Amino acid sequence: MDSPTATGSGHGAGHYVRIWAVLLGALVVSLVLGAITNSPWAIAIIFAVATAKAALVLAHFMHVKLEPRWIRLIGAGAVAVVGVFFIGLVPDIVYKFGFVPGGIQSAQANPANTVAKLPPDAGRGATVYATFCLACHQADGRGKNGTLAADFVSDASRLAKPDSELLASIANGRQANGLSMPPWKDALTAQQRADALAYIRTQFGRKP
Amino acid sequence: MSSSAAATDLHAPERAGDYTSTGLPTGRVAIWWFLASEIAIFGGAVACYLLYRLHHPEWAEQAAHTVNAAGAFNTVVLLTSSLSAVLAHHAAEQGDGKTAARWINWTVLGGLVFLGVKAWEYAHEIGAGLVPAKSLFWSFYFLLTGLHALHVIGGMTALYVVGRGAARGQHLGRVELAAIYWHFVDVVWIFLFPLLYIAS
Amino acid sequence: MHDHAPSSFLRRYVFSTDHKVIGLQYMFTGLAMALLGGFLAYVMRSQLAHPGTPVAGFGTVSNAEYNAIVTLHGTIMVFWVAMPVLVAGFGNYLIPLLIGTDDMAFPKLNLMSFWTFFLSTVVLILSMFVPGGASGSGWTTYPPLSAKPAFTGVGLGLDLWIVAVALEFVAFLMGGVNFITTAINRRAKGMGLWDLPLFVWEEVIASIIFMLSVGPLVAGALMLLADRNLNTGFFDAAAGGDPLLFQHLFWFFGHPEVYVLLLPALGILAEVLTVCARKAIFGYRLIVWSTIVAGLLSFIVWAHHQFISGIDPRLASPFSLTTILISVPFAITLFCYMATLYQGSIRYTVAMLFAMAMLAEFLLGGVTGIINGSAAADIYVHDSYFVVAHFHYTLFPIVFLAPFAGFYHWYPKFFGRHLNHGLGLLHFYGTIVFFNLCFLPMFALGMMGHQRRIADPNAFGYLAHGQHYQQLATWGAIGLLVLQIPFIVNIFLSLRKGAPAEANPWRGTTLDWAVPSPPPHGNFEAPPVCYRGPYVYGVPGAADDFVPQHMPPGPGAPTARVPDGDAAQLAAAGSPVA
Repeated sequence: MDSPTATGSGHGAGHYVRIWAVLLGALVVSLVLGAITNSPWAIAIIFAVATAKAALVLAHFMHVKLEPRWIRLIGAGAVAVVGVFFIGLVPDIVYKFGFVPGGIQSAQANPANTVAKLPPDAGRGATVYATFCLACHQADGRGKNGTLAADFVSDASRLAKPDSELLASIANGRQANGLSMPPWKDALTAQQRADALAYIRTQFGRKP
Repeated sequence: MSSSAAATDLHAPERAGDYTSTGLPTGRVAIWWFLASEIAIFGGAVACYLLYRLHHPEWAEQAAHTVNAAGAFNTVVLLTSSLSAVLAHHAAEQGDGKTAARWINWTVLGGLVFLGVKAWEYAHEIGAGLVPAKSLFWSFYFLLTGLHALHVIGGMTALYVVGRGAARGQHLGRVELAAIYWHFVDVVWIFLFPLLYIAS
Repeated sequence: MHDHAPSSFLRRYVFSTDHKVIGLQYMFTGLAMALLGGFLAYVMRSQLAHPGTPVAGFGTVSNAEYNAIVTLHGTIMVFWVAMPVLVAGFGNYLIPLLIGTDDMAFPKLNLMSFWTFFLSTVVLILSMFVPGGASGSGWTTYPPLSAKPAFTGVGLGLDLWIVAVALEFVAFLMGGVNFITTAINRRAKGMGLWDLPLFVWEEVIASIIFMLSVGPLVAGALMLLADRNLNTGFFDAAAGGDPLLFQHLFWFFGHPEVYVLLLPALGILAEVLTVCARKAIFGYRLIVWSTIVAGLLSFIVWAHHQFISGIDPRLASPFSLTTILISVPFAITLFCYMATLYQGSIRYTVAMLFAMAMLAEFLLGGVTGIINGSAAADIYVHDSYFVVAHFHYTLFPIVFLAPFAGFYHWYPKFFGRHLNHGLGLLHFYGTIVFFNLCFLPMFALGMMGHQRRIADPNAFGYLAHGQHYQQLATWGAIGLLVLQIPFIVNIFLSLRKGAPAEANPWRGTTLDWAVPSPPPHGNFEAPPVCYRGPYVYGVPGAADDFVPQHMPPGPGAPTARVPDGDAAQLAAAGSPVA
């Protein structure tokens, strides 16, 4: 496998120098275009020129044009896979469509988001807590002794605050003691936030 | 490749060192598969960048802070080093290891110049507060160019090793493989340059 | 073609470039990691059965430890057991033998790939013992959970976890290039593509899928490391990034990865089933084309893991469609395997029992996958024990039953001795019974609303009625682990005490049986020549009920070349068994 392998190129050195000159010319075209305008058309042309340059390098320097077709398919397959990846992600990453119809933001648009309709219920709140709060505040409400999140159990001052203040913290998030709680107003409805607080109070609060 | 073609040489001599099922050198088959995996890595990173950039049109303003002149100079350097790489391959094909080694040295020098310019750019940018954590554009700028620079270093190392062998007339077939890899690094830069520098 | 076998112990058994030694190194590293993964499963199950009570051999499981155990169990079983055993272990050992060559195309690259893999193993184990503990963000490592140390409380452990996985990817990328190139370019003379044993096809297609799908995630791993250490915001919504991107990057690799594991398992099955049923594989070319189609489809199913994570709802339907579509080529393959058994003269070796069990159990996993694949149904079962049951019904047969079949089948080739049959039967029946006892209850648990990754189901009153099922599953898991003891004993006992095995103990047709057991360094005395397809059994006029691929045409072997051992062609030739 180490023997010199004639690709059968049959090109002389002059051929390669000519290709190189064309590549440099293409570079100048891109630079000039980029300097004088930033219209979408210019950008499209710049990328077309880049593709053409890559094609020249592939065909003449890497001798792809002399390889059998199945060798060319290897690289083409890899490019196609990347293309599939890109196209599949456009709706989510470029347009964030997932957040429009019936997604998280509908909680915001929903009038129920500002006022809880039903009386707060700790039973419903248990599910909310398990899904959204437990990861940091933990099942025992101690937030790993306050290292990960506020400790409801040992620190009585936490739940001594009025409902309005705690609900505002849940909705808008809170930065204190080097800890950072994210805002939940977009992810949870007002009903869910009130239910969660009810659960926290019944589960971890001092009984009055 | 087809079974009938292979069947005709059933009674050919025992497997010689360079017998292969497809008739292509094994190294060349391998390098293309290797490049396919590289395409997936760079392609994935570039795809992420493009997706974000399309979502954030305002990045164009930040892209204007990259130094176009340095990028353009580096493009010229890489294109030229690719020329010397293909000339090395050409010489190796004709069994002229000494000439091949000389062209390879030029290519390695090109890689060094490229890295030097890149290092100057990094220093300039970081000095101006444009660090990876500055904004997502700069995160991607350092991710993509850093990944590319690592490949430049890898390609230079491969070329250097192959060049030493070629100077002694050994393993001339490997010159082509290292050159193909170097051209690939060049092609990646051909796309990174407009993506990160020109289009603003 | 033979260079002499290296003489020093180190060069021969540790830093060997021989594909057989490297294959066994992968397999036994995988086996050791399987014991670790199994121990973690035992701790996890014990905690779930009796939350809060100390687990024998571990102690009380804290919530953070539970998270780490879940994460490591998944990571180890997929990346440090399935990949090394199925892809690298069997692939390294068998591909050169099956295609009739002396070694891999790049033996030194092979050596490097194994030691990179070994280094990744060391880094992973190291990550369990650093301050802050091991990664606790699941094997999927979704940000923001994984992106900010504050969320899991894990610092260095998670960074090392990412590095270990990335190193492992590098090792298997090197291995993949080697496998593909070897199969393309190092085949014995006369061996066309349609003469390749199915195992080789499956390994090569699996390597291609791996190589093309893992690229974006390699970039993703770098981005995640930067988010953790350089304060970038690739996946931080507050900085303009998008956590959903990581899920896409992960599953664009993560789902094809399932097929990377499945295909070699199906390849092992093809070899075992044909030898033990004394019959040509049914529909050789159909299976190959189905696998290629499945490989292509595997790149467009990934988002079915993300139906409830805020993707564009309009994407859900196409991904449901492709997900259900990809069951078609695999159904074709499995039906072909069953048709291979039809009217075969089946020998119930332990390998054959495992192979047939794999077919049956995997079917259950596949069928429940159709429920998960439908977006509407998935919204209910997502992240529940139903999913856990589903993927264990797919992955356990893939990662354990198929390699068991392969190991019992090729052990005589590996070591020149047979495994003990009685211990093998005990291992087989015990494994199957307790596997089902462990995972069947989980379907029910999932429907009851039990969620995955909860350390203490007792913390939630509404889950109480499922606790008996949790305990049942735990008994199943413990039984399953205990019944692996006969297997381990068998491996080491039979090395010394097993009945000696000849070169071709099962009377197989492929080239791996043409070399002595165990094969010498360099494998073949003289380069073999391939005269026919891989599965030629029961041909009238032949000296025996099988015709090896390397037997020259003559009085004992049919003169007609049977290019792909296709059943239809054998039938046309008047074969009584086809």
